[in-house]
Amino acid sequence: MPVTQKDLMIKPKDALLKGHFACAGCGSALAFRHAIGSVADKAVLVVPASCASVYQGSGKGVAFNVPTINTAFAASDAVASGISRALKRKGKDDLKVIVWGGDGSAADIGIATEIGACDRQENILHVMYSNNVYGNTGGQRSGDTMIGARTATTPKGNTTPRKMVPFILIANNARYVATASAAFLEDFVEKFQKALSLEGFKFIQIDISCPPNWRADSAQSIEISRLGVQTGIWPLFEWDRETNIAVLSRPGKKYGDKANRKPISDWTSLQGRFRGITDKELIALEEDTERQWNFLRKFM
Amino acid sequence: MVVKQETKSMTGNDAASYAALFAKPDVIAAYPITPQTTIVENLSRFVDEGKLEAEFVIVESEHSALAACMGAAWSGVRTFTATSSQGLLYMAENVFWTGYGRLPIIMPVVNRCLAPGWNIWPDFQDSMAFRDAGWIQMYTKNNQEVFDTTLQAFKISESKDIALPSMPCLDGFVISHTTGQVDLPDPEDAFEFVGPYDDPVIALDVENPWAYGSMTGPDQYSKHRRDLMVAMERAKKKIIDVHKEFEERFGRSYGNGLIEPYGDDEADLTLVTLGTIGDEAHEAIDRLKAEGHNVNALRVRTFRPFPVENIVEFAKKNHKLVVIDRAASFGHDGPLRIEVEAVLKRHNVDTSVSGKIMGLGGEDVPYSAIIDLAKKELKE
Amino acid sequence: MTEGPSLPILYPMEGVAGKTGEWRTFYPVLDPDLCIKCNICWKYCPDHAIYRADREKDEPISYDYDYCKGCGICAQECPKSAIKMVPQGE
Repeated sequence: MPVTQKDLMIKPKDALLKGHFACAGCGSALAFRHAIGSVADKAVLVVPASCASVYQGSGKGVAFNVPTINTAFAASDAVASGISRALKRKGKDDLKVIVWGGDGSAADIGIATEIGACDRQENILHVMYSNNVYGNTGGQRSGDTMIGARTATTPKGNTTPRKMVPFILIANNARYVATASAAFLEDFVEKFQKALSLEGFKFIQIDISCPPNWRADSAQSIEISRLGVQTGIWPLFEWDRETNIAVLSRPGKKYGDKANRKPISDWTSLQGRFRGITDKELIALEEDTERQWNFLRKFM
Repeated sequence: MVVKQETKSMTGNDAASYAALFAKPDVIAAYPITPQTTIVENLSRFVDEGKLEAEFVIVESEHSALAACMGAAWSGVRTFTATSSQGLLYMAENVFWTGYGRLPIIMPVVNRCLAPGWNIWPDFQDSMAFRDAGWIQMYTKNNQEVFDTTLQAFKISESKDIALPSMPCLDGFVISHTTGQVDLPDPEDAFEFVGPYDDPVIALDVENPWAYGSMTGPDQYSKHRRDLMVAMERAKKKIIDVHKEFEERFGRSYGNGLIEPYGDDEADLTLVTLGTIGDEAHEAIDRLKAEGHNVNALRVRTFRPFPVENIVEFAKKNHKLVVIDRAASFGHDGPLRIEVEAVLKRHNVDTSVSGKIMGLGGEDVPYSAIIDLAKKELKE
Repeated sequence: MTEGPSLPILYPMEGVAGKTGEWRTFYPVLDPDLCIKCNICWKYCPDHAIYRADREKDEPISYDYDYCKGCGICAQECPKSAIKMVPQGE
């Protein structure tokens, strides 16, 4: 069932309480608010070292209104596995075990743990919110950083292609894999709910803006995410093991055709991290984007 | 009254796996590493044969093995895993997370030295590296003690006033792969001793949500760590009590559970040991006494919490402690010697302490070598 | 029941970071006449700082200025440009 804005208004309870520590315009907090809110009473969260381990709160309390376990950077999917198994033993397997972490853990340090849980078909959902950078530590390059991005560890521009985490998990026989965007929250929540209805290892990668590390205007947080889809940087799709077919999602469907896409520079020009990007780098970024689409097309 | 038990021949690893079987953990994580592997192999067989109803998680690394146990422990169920050497090091951050997080996970460590070069033989360098991780560490001397200690560990660790993980330590190969006689109680008697884990230290609750391990300021952080220090102190009495209860039920004891003296109360020279060297030291003591030497031995069974009071009391009656360490703190000395010396100094006991690092990387420490050491020390 | 250990546990509460409205350098001002009560701004607010409009009661959206960090997403996303960001103090 397609999720509408009206559905987003009906929540079991507020999963993210007001007055949290997320930066102004944070796409991750926004995505959290809607996704976890849609399942609040049944959610058990596992949070690896990430911005989410900070913006949840400190000292006197937490903004996360669901049971939350903070774990070491690379440990989250294994901890979630243990929780899922224990809940099964206790006959509480109606609860949804969700890993909520960034690209640092999901694309880099925790990827072996994640593939391990996927390989074992643990009944968990991993949501990788990606700002393509180590945001919490001050904006260093991650395996999901785009070519041309000026980060704290690639001051002259990142040269390496993105690690295509969703495809790695498809190759490892995940139950369900999808991408989403903070600009299309209904689509994200629909995928999130669908994933939770399935048994096995599920994975959603959501593009969220990071105004401080992208050196972007916080007001344009959603616009940048939207342009990510419209320029083809961020394909929106879902893949189901049962069909082994990747389907482009409604909000991003027409951008499967390169002719419908906006120029990538529309997206890069709104972000200070791409200031000074050369034509050569832009071409390389376009090529890397196309590489992603070509991969995706093999499953379409 | 001591319950009926059956004597069986088994390796030390078998003994550890039987203790786990009888305690009925809900979640077991397994990753192979020599010489630990047969512990989890046995458990996988128990689960497959239906002898044990448990979730058996075959993880992709030791880091994940402990992480999976942590997840299960946070959910409020009994958990078990085992490791050795490089595996213990690979799970390092989670070892500390478990101890400081007060998760009562039971994890036998089959002691093996650390690379390079590759060497699968025993020393205590691996577990000694985790001395400060907030785990109870008990070093065993034989197969029987592995079973007994592992069973006791569940009862000690899961007690809510303790809430500390336990690392029963057993010398690789010397215990783990050597067959010996083990008196096994009836599984139900063993389970009755341990009891169900029905008042968990912590258990996830969607009705009453909380966040575990969020950002914590210095005040709260140090409060948690001070509580850990106090719990370790309390654990000394708990270990003694559980050990005593075990003795009443199963008829076996190891000193008071913290230290195990051997021989006369007072002697010219005392051999202080950990693990199987303690067993070998008994042979050395017997032979030295037969030659007319006034010697005894002290095996430190519990290394964390460190049995300060017991060691002090013991040392007061003795004249010269010779500590045999099977690990080294490079740039200083053997860890056991360092601690024994410090404790005596702090308590103004002037018993002399010397020591020797022996048995690294599986180097054999026969009673003859211990006799040579003792004779040399007696002359000095 | 034995008392348990001192654990690093925190409970949910509003305002863990204090009144985060204090972070603002700009604040949003709505022209209620222009508001079509579509609630798109409500949807995109990462801070939960917008009270939803009610069409039936003909009530426009309103702000919880205690917690609005002034990111400006609402102003940017409003299809009717009914929201303006004004510097704090003006």
